[in-house]
Amino acid sequence: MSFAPTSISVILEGVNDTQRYFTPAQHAYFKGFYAELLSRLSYLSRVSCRDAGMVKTGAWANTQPGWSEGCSSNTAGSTASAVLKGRTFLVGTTLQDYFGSPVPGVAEVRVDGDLVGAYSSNGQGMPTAHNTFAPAAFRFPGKEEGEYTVEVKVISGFIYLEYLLGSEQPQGEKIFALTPTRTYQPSDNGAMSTALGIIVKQLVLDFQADGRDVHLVDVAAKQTPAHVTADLIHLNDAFNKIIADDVFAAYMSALPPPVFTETICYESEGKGYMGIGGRMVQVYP
Amino acid sequence: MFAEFWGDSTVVGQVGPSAGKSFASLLASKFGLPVRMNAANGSCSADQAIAILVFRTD
Repeated sequence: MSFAPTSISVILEGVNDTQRYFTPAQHAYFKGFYAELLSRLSYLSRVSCRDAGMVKTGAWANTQPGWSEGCSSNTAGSTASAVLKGRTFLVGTTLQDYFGSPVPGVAEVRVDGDLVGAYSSNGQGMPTAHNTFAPAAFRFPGKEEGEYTVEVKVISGFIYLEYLLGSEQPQGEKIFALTPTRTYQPSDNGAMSTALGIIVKQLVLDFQADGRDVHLVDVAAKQTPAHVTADLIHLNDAFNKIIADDVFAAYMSALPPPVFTETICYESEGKGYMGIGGRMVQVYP
Repeated sequence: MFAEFWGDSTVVGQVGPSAGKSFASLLASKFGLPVRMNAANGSCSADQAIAILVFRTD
């Protein structure tokens, strides 16, 4: 039996975690962080800022966090570019707060010389553990499917660049993105999880449009006050069962038609299969 | 193959759902897979924590 190193990922952001995003800026940090998750899980390759394939001009230095594979620049006019295939492109970056005193910056993004957008590495007020750095990704539309030179150009301040990637590449994992759940504490009116749910839904649509195997499971729509424990915070047994049932149903409906066979498992033409309930189902294309 | 769960205690079953009744455990059982829990920390306060359940081989 053959499987991808990781075949399926299920992402749930909820309860305590969604209580941390209060302001519109923090909602944007959530979006960037969630996009980074989808990017890492659904794309197999990227050109990191330290790769030979990233052509840099001006002044760049390796980024500080140990998990980083990127670099940074505070020299206006510095550029970093890579040749990528696709019709949309992702820029991976590091947001920085520097304990409340970041050096906000702006970088422009160009595709074959045409300006398609800009981004900032400013993470002031982001709800991270140490208020310093956090990963994020931004998605930029390109042109027709093809090969392009994608360039990041520092306009002002500090800019971090982790990687660039294009949408034309093999599938990564099959992903089930769950809408964020909420608490029922008196201070929580549900607005925050609703706002973050809108972000998740849009990101799923964006990544689907880019050909990624991403599926929305709107568990938040089923949540009621009866689905939390006595502390009004944590999801109880009943709602955990709903989540499991809904993700499993989404998984089954996302599959191609099952192939019925008595064989337990086999591998054919690079496709992995597994037996579930006596049926053969494709695990990944 | 196994199901590997990354998340904070809210979702790995230490807080909230009863033992073995977290969605991770229930979902893994539907696939007939053992589940390995990896708590990001010992409390519910994991910053920007996201629960990720993956199915993968050793």
